[in-house]
Amino acid sequence: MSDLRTIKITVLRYRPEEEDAPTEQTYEVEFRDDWVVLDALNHIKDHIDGTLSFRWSCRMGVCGSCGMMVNGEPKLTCAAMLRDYYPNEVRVEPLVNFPIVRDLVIDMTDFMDKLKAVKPWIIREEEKPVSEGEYLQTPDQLKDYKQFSQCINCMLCYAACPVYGLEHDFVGPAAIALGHRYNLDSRDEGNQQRQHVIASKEGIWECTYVGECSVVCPKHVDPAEAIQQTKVATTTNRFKSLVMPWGNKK
Amino acid sequence: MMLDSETTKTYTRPISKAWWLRDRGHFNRRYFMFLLRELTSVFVALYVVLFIYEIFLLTKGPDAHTAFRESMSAGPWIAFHIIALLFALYHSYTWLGLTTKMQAAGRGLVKIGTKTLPPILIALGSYGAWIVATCVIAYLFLTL
Amino acid sequence: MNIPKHDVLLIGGGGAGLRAAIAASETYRGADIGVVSKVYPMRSHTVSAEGGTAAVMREDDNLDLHAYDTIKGSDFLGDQDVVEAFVKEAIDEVIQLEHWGCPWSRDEDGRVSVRAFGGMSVKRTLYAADKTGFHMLHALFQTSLKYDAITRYDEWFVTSLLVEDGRVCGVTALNIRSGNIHAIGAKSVIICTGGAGKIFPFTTNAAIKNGDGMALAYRIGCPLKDLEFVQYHPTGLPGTGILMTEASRGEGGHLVNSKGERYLSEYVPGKMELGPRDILSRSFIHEQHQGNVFEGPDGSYVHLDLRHLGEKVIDEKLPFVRELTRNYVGIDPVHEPIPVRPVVHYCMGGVHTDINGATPISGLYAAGEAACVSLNGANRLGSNSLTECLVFGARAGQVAAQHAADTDFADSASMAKMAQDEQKRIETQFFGNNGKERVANIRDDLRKTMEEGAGIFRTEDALKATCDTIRTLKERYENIGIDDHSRVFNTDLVNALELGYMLDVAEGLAHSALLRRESRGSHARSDYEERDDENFLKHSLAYQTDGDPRIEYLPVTLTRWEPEERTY
Repeated sequence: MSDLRTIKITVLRYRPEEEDAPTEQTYEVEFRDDWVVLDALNHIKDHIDGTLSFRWSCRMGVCGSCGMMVNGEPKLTCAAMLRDYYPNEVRVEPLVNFPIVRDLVIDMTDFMDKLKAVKPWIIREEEKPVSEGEYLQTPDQLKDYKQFSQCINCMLCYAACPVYGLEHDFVGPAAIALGHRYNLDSRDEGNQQRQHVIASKEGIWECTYVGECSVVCPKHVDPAEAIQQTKVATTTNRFKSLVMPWGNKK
Repeated sequence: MMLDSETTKTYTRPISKAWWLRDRGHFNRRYFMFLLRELTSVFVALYVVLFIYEIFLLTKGPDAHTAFRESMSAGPWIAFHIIALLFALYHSYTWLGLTTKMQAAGRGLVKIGTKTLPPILIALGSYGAWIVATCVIAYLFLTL
Repeated sequence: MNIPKHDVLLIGGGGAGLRAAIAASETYRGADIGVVSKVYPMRSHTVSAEGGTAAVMREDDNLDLHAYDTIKGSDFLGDQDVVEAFVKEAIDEVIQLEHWGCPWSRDEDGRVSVRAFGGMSVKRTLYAADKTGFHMLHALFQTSLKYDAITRYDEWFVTSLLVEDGRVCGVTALNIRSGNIHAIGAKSVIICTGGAGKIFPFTTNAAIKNGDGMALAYRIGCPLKDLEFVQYHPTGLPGTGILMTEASRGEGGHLVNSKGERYLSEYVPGKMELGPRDILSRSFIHEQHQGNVFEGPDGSYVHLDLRHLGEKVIDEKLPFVRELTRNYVGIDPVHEPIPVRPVVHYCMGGVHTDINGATPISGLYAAGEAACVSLNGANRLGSNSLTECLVFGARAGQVAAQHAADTDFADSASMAKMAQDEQKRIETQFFGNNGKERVANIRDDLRKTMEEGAGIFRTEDALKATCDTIRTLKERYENIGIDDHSRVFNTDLVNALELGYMLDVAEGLAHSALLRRESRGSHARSDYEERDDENFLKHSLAYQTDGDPRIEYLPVTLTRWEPEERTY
């Protein structure tokens, strides 16, 4: 058993019923070597101060609930080891660029709306009946979109994106990457229906390529890449339809 | 759709005007480099204005143009040109670096058969084409 | 008084809940569906399922074989009519999910791939690398977004089922964001809240899995069936309990003890690493008793060795295993064996339903891990549970919608009144008294006693002690005090309410286990080591009473397979 060490955790608190602006609170937490930041928050909640509110669930980096700012960087707190920060103190804040509901809990309504706006489902002109079996898709076709299907909706990329911070209309990294995922899926025929959201001013063209979204993504989805690919594809398609208006089938 | 007419008071954190310099108490290199890249366009634009003015002076006869060329050899103007050149180089470098983004780990816009061309080849190709184009233009300017 | 109302109301938005919601909305035009979930649906625990989902997909397989494997795996406690319906409908369900965009791993010819899994005699487990649950849940959630008939109540927490004239007519739910409690009326309510792994200290389960729905049903007189059957997954990371998917063995991984032996040859020579989970977990305990295990800070463990698979196979088929071990234990399975030990994983028992997901209470349905449709009996086979969410989620959705078509809403005013009463009850219980008991302390004590009495091996004495402890804990719960008395996003209150659910489920579980004096599947009694078909080839039903729960029994449905000795 490794020795217990004590680390200082400073948490941004916001209690809307009591205060108009956030305050800070510092806790001292004894931690084990294998503890993550989320473990410390749970220790605080269970044994020191039950009023601290935050979201979490799986504690294995796949449910996407526990994204917060840890020392200024968007992180999944279930994957941020305390020992990597010790002996310095750890500062935990709710994800930036989102309104704070309470303590470390942000309002994600806007994100959910944007997710839906890109129509993240298979769109087909004609559905194949289930009785006729699966759509065939080769491993290469799967590879085309697989990376963009790994998004866990943790919203770290929105917290990292200064464009989203300044322009809340921006559809944003995760939602565009998700739309791109369906556009690249060999089973899907919905590219046109997604264009008015994805290829709009609030879509890909709002992105000025800071690239920070891809840096913070815990699942290596690389939304920046999705956006740049869509820019190239959209431009090429527009150019094609300009030069050959008769040849634009899809 | 979420049925919730009961939204509660929220707090929106203000964004500091210096967000690109100090991001929540930390220097974020990528935000800074990003803003620097945005800033390059200012210098490129200024250079283009200057260049158009120079072409305009050509229509006013050789004397005006020569006077202009001489005024350009003053220290501050040379500094301006060096900065503009560096920014232009930086902008081109980052812009061409972006081309690798067309080639995802699995997915790529440029393919040979079913094989995706490695991103590094795309980048090297872009930089190569850039250098060749620069040499050709330089050759034309310096020899004609 | 206006309250929101839906023809069909789902509690829980995971795999089963979303499948049921879509099925219900497709049952008849104009069906109005509500989904209440205490987390945003894509956070549901289906997301953590890794290995795959079973269905007969290949020429070397057939329905009877899948049925037999499942029945034998269940130690003959599965209802055979249910199993037969399950294996038949499984195929269409996984194809339906393919049509909805689930990124199944593929063979070169474009068909969905299948892999080997524990207790399955041929390869029949479809998968999306080792993030099958994640991809299934997101495909279902994203598909559900296109149905305008589905209204979501994200981060609403159900505190009770509303009952009028013996039928369920809605729920009361706490809007976590505002702190207000509302009535939501419904003609049919479907419970899809998952299992209760969090009543144990060491589990693969997420924080949200506290048996909420089971307790909700239990409290209105609906029996909980076969609760004593709790599955230990043989391969979890020590300490955190993070799941190392069974697919790692399906792809050829070995379990090795401290002597460097593949010790399963002693226990399941015919199947080795692909033996069923209950037997593999017990084998670990036997090895532990013989001193053939490693000792670490988080207790004893054995090795899961994947090194011989090579980097390419690991990256292609088991990328999540590699990601998890690197992040959480600093081990790269390409170069080192992974320390693993058995960990609580799945509740075979749950809300008693018939083959369609209907409970004995009119208007109440259940599906997924929260339910016990009696597919899994005494031990579930790996990769049957995701399919179960689809098959019985769809069935429950359809049947609940049909029921709704022939039913009227209850009176809004009386439901609104019930919600007001509920708000008062909760405020009095949690804000009004000055209780001294902390949620976390009672919860820790509950988990401890569950492991002591209702762990892998159980005895009469230990179970009695656990039953007694739970009784004391319930008394202590009456004296609970919470720190947070505010309304907005009060997770302290939610945790306290969840603890109440956990205590109820634990009580039913421990008493059911106490009375089952035999060993069957995951329920291993050191004092009754044999299976006893004469007395216990039957389901237990736990009913809540004012005192200890009342346990009744129900015969198992046998169709074509006679119980036989279960060896592998």
